[in-house]
Amino acid sequence: MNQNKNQIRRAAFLTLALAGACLAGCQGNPAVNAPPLTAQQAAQPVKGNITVWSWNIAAKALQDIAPSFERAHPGTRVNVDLTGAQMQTRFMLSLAADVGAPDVSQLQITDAPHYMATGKLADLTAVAAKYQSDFPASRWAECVMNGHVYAIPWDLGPVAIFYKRNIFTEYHIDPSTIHTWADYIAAGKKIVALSHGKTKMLALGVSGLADMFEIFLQQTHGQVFDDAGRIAIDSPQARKALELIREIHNAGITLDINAYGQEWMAGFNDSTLATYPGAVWLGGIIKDSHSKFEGNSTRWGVFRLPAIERGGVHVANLGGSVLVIPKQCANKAAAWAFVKYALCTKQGQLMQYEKESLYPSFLPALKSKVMDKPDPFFGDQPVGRLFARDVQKIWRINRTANWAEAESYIQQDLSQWAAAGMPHDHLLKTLAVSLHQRLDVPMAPASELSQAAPEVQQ
Amino acid sequence: MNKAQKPNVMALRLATYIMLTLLAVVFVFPFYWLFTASFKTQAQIFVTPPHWIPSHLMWSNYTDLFQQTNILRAFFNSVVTSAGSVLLSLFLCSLGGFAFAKYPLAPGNNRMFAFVLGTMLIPGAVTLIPTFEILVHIHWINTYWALIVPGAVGAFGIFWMRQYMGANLPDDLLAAARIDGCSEFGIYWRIAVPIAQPALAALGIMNLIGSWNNLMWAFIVLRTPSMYTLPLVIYLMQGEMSTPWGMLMAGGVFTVLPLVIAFLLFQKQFVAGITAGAVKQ
Repeated sequence: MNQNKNQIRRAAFLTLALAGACLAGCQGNPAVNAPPLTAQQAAQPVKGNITVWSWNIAAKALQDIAPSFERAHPGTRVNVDLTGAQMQTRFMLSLAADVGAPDVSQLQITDAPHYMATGKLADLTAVAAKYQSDFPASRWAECVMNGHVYAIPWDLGPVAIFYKRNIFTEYHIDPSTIHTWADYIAAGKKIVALSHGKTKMLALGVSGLADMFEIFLQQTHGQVFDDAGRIAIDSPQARKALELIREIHNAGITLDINAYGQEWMAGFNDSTLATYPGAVWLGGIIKDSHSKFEGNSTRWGVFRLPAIERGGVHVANLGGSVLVIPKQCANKAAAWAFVKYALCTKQGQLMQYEKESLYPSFLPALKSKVMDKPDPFFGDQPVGRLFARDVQKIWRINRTANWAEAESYIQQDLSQWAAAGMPHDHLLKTLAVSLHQRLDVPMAPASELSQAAPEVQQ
Repeated sequence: MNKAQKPNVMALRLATYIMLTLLAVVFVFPFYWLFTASFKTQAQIFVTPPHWIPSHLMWSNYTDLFQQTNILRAFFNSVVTSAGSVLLSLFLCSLGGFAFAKYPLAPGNNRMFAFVLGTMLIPGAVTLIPTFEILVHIHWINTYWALIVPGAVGAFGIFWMRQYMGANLPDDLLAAARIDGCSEFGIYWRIAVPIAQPALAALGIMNLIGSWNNLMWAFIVLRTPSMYTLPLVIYLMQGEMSTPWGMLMAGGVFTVLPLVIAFLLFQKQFVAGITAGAVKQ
């Protein structure tokens, strides 16, 4: 009996010891509760290892600048980690758990608000606020939540029209005469007619509708969410954007293929499509594709995004990234020094532009003469300068924490609308109600949205 | 048995062996492919028609595995978490099974058992987020405990042990132990556990396979490379632009081998445990 009691006592003791050991190892990450980085801390010399999570050419761009950063900051070492599956998911899990996140991470601009809303990113206001005027206002606004800066803009995605010079020359179309979407449609009709339908003006499949809608929403100065975060998609501006999509579709100048699909990519090198409306980074994809086809006779050029009306805005943005520092980063001063070097200096941004074609959002870099360099691929056009024009006028889209989710619902409903032949129905009203129900976000009063669209002038 | 039946029996036996051989080939083939691919180059793995036997052995997949990943640390982590998980699970499930099987008059026994069985209806994926939240709050994320404790007691394990103990543990034996002054925990530890060894071995093997191969939960709770287990290291070898398939296959061999050895060692108990309830005694 006594032996059994002793056994039970031993088991109880072991259990307690185990629980104690567990709890002893259960102290939270002290860096998470540390106060935000101050300007004084940032001014001190930094050292230590900095791990960065990034992908694709963006990661390569950071690897390119890492040696010069390390030379400028002796004692630092930058490790850009672009391996491993599910980087974004792992980052979110690491933020939630306060452990395991890198010192610096790349985020897509559309996803950034979702991460900012977790409250697990370092508040960079004290050290970064002074750079506000160095970035396009719209992009900077996307890095700020509740008045605090949580991210620094990286690359920008100004949109223009990539066109095939050989096709435009063959059908006697002067791209400099295309000022508005009406001009663009007229040029498209001419190309389709003269090519007997062999060449279409652009691809417009269901997967490209959301991008097109976002471009037009920026040009009409519309919103999905208003400044108070309420659903504001059922507005005259959004209606105008839909009308424009319908107009382009009904003009018979589109090819119903999906963006980034095989046919779409093959269209770079044949005569099925005359133009590709796209962000600056599309240029890199076109060049890459062109180089793989020997004897390719396609010659490319770029002209500015047509405006809704003559004298209207010729700019919009698609995509782009930011860099963030998680709260749990133990060496925030070094992490900030790297982010600052990469994104808030002309040297860092231009090095990334020249080596990896990562288009800077840092305005002093856009003013550089590097942007005036003629690009032989685009018939010696100074493409960098063309995209830099009016970036300050890019309309600010209110991206809330549930932006990415909203975007997927918009894409879904636009696809159904297109499949039904783009009818004149209540798509936006239905979409607004559906977003309200799915996201549990209030709708802006109709009276505030029914005001006439503001005059969108250059 | 008459003479006419003999050829029939032979034919049946032959058909059985042919079927078993075919099934064995089907089951062994993925292992064969894994093993041979671990000695091939990236191009050889995907060549058509496939090279069934590598022209020469590419040991570099294995050397890369040890140089480029922290596979030995991952192996250690897998051993610690799997062993911890199996031992804790065997202890708690057998304890629960013993209580349900041998204390039928305890208040609420049947209802409690029905409740435990009812938990089997809850899909595991549903509990992922709440469990993660709990572990975040008690700061167990990125610790061995996160892999060992949450899955330690499963309804299936308790059911398994209850059924075995109910059928194989005579009440008279327990009564005799009580008369001799043995405590209730002593009865469990000294009498029930030794008798339930085949069931424990079978449950242990099943739990070992589950915890050794656990990828999703490990992916969620393990956050730093030093804590990664083998499946996670292999999963994260997949790159954004390319995947080193040869090295990944070598990692697969390294991961599968201990499990195969464990199965071969405990095969007898495993089969005995599985079939224990199938034969009426």
